Amino acid sequence: MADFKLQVYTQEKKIYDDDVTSIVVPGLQGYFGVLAHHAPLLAALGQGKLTVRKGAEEHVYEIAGGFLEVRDNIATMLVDKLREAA
Amino acid sequence: MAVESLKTLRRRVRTVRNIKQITRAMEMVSAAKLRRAQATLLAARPYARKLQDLLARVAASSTVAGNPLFHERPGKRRVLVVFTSDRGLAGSFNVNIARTAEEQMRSEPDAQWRLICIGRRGRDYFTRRGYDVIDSVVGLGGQADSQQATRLADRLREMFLAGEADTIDLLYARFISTVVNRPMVVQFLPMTPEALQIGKKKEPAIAAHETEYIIEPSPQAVFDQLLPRYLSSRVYITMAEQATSEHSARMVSMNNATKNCTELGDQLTLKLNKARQGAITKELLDIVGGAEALQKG
Repeated sequence: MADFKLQVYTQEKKIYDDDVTSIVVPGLQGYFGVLAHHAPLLAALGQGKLTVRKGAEEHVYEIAGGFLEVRDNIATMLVDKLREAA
Repeated sequence: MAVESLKTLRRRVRTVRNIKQITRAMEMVSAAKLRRAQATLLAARPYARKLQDLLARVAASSTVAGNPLFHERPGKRRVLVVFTSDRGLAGSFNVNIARTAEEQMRSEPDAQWRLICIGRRGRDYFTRRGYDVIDSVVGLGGQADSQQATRLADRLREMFLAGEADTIDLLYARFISTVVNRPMVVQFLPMTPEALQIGKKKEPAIAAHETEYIIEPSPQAVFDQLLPRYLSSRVYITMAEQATSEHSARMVSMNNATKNCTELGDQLTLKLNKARQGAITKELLDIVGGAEALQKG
């Protein structure tokens, strides 16, 4: 499956920068997924779980709100807080 | 007299040497903290830039007009947020900021000025002089703190929205280079559309893109959510820049102090050596004189 670039920033610094296969984010109106070659998108995010899939690996993080922008196969997230989900 | 001054000279040389050790150590510490502060500032920039980018993209005149954070009011209740350091020994760093604050307030005497002080130095200075200090944040210790920045930004936003303040300005030391920083007043609220659209030349491209963008849930909703983050990020960046300026100012002033110590120490050592030599010569003369007197007798 095709990969795309995911960059995650908090107010303080860049905390994630890697190629991923898919992400699932908590949109304001419910969770939605993003795959490679997604149409340009700008979305506000709520509090919830961010799921990042990279090949067969899967990581789940908790975020406290933020934004997601997808453009030119690069997903940029600005999040208020991010931590690995237990 | 000669013996006494030898003793005091020795003591003074030792004192100067000790002070020099301290100032040099403080210079080193400041240099290390400066590097860290610069790294913090650098790391925070991409987020701020991206946020601004997104804001510019969803901002249309309609969304801007609809948001109360952009409403200019004719009122004269002004709040000045003054950033200073917690600790001194940074030369004229805090004095310059305090003076700029006073000039700013004097330039509009008919306004009702209230202060929010970030940093112990500023709080103490303005409280002592009887200014209306309504709030303060101390103990940041020359570092930007994301949580404190968000809290402060939220507080300022609420004050503005509740009508407790008609304008809110930030006063901080702009970092220009390691040796130069300049106190600057920037308008925080109300927000202005000009402040947001930094990349004005890019606007046609943005407009072209905008039609293709899917915006969830709606431009207005995204815009309204972006604004608090933008304000918080601005406060955070301001804190980081202030910290950078503080440490550079302290480094420079401690470097000067160390230089002065070296100079003073050299002068005193020279004096001390002269005095010691003088004392030895005098003693020799005494001995020689005594011996001659004995031979004659």
